[in-house]
Amino acid sequence: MNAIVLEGVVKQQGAFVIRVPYLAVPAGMITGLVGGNGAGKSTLLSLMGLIERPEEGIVTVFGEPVWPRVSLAVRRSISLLLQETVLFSLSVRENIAYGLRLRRLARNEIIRRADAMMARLSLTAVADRYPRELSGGEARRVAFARAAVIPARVYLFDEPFANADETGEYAIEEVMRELLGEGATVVFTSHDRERVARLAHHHISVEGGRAF
Amino acid sequence: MDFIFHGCIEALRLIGSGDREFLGIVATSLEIALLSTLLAAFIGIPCGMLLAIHHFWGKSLLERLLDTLLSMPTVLIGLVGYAFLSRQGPLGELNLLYTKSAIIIGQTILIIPLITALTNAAMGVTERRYRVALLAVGANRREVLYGLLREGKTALSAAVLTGFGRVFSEVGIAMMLGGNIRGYTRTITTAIALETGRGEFSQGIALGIVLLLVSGTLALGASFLRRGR
Repeated sequence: MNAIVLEGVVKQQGAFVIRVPYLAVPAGMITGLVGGNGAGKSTLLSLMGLIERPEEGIVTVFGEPVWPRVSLAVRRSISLLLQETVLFSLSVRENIAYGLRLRRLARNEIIRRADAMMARLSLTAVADRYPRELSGGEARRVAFARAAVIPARVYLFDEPFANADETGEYAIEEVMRELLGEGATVVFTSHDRERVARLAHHHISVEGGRAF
Repeated sequence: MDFIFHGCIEALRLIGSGDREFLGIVATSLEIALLSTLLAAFIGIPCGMLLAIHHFWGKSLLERLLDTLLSMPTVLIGLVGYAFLSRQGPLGELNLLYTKSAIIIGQTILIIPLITALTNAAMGVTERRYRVALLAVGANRREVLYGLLREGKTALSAAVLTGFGRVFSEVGIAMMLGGNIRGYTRTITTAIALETGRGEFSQGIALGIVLLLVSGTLALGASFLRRGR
């Protein structure tokens, strides 16, 4: 079973065009998107995360075509970490709990999940700080935590290891493996082929807007 | 120079004495400016939001038109307002000319483009930065809008404060549509114009100090909000 399939997808962004004749993300695995800067990894992830709509082609999520009208249930079955770290003007704790609150989880459950994720990523000490008080690495971990804490079927992480130190990298890898253990599908982008080979069960190369 | 010095001393005495007419003028100015700003914000903020969030044909033309309206002379609004509200005008039957309502209408029209343009500029930046982040955590359309409002609230507050400052210190519309009637439509700015014309500097300077204090505080507040984003 495939979690996400892109067929005949074309997406133009300025002068850059991404073309995907066929791409399948297998369910219940970790998939690594590997490629250099400007290869089109982030655009591809935005297409998979239903943030960008392709000009041509079909995107299916668990066998169901999603465009032109993406249901909220399908959108919420996918959690996405963006390449750019954008935190809301709220405390670290509130940022991490944001997606859980949108899903109307019980208050105790929100606190439990957010606290557990902060502990996993060594963010408990900065729980009450605001984005401007965080270092680049901490802010990136908060963004990762906000995406990873959401109960979803598919997790798309764009450069999750950016700005992370060794401990942070290890913790992020562990969280990704835990999500996999819970039955989720994980996709991440990286330019580090070694990491992709070590962490991912399946990898997709992206170059010049083409995925293969 | 003496008359300026004595004017200042007399002005401070007037402020300290709690003169009823003086306080009445300040209260009228605040009331009119507050209501005009509320009305203009009620119209301008949603319009600016729509303009910032939606991409449609003719958007840049509309933005240029808004920019042009920002420099609309207040006496022109006063003149058009007078033509509409005077007895022979199409809205003459409403008997609004030389009332506070007339000033409020004119000043609302004056700052709607200002609040719309500032909202558009501020929310355009906010939308570009936060819309995708909100979608990425699973926000629906309403939640995206709420999130954008939350992230843009300081810029929106600055836009409203700027609008308030504009109408509070405005004189053309207040004079032409309000008529500067003592105890009724006399505002700080129209009173300053009148008192200066009559050579009563102390009252003019006292009102000028209040005007400066309020306008300065608003400008500082707006600047603080913008820097604090």
